Amino acid sequence: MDETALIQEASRGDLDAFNRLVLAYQDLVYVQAYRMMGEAESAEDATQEAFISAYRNIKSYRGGSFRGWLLRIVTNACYDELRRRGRRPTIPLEPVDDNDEELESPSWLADPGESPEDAAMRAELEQSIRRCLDELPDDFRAVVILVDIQGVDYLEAAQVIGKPVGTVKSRLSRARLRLRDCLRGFWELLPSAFRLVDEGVS
Amino acid sequence: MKTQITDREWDALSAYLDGELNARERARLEARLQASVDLRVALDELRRTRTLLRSAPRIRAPRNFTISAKTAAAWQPLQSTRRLAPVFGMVSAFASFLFVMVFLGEFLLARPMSASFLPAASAPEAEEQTAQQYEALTTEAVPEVAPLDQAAAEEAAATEQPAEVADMTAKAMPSPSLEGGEIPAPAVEAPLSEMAEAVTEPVPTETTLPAPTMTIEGTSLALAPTEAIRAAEGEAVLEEGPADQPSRARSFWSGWRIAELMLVILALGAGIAAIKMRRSGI
Repeated sequence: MDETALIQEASRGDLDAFNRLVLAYQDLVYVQAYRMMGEAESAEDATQEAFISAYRNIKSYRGGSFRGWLLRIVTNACYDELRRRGRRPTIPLEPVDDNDEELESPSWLADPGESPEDAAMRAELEQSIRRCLDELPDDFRAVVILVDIQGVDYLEAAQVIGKPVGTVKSRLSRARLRLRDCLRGFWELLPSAFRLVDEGVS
Repeated sequence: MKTQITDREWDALSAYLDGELNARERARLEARLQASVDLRVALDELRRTRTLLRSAPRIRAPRNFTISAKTAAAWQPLQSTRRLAPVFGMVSAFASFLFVMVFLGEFLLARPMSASFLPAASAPEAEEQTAQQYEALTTEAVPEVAPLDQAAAEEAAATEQPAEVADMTAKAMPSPSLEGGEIPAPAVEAPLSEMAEAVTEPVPTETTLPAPTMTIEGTSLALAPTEAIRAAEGEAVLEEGPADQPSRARSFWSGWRIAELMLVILALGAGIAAIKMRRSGI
């Protein structure tokens, strides 16, 4: 069954149809939540909350990109949680320390067929990216995750954050500039194999 | 070196990297890139940053986030409220507009309460009404001079004024005070009833369409203030009868206040509802 049909079934209250959509999009939604929140537990909460909210509000979906619609819901759920946390900073926003085994080398991050050196480097890169993303203002982080990690174009990113394309452009540029400063030391350490070939202008 | 690159240039470089510049912007930037080493270095740094982010490990959901039948039963799908958002937005804007009108109306009509200013200030149709009501009132009001006298005398006694002065003020009061207190009331009545109609008009017609639940909320939201306005109007009309002059003046002022307050509440309430609806969906 194609996506449109599944959405139609889901909006008629077919839970199975909706759950098939969940399975198709849960990685995407979880990545957005994980990168926004910076840690797994609240990312899971935000993801679950986003899917429940999507299910409840499925009738308000009016065509267009379903992916964008879901990304908007999860991004808003993260904003809400971050705002709530901002008032009561109970959970530190610091990157997870080295003693946290699960996050240092989580099984779901492992890439089979990777050398131990590459795996170590990948884990280090992951940690640096998480730390640098955490240091960004929420609005900047949301945009850079959408474009550079999720691969969404400017127009769709604008729809997700509910702002004009110009806002996406400037927030992305500010975010990249800060990330450049934050990650600057890192790319010198990368083995040449890890320095991906220049992608050129797409 | 870095400081020479402006925010706009960074924005252009970043968008260039993503192929999000139009042909003219791109041509302009490329010309400048050829001329400036700094810009080329900056572009390269941005590109490397982007590459690094893109090479971030792909994360997968640690578990399935499918919704169980039990959870689904607790969270039944909602009716779409998104289409109502613009309606509430319009109601909010309209209420704000009415608030400004009422505020200006109060300022222009009510503040100068001198008898000489009134004929010019009141609307022509209101004037006719006023004349009739004034006639009716003067005949009614004559026997009521005594209580007015009494009230004034009491007031005067309280302020320890000589009895003669109190008497004089009491006698002087009826005619100008009746004019002063009376004429603005119909003038209020006319715009207010028009406004009340205008407020009720757009809301039910537009909100009845999509969602039953929201319709109820929407109408009650809109009706509450209009009822209050009507109540305030009614109060003003009732007060037209022979009554104690200071109390009538008070209720007259509170009529404006109530209308303003209700419109502010309506404007804010509808505005917040519109924003919430817009945020809940896409």
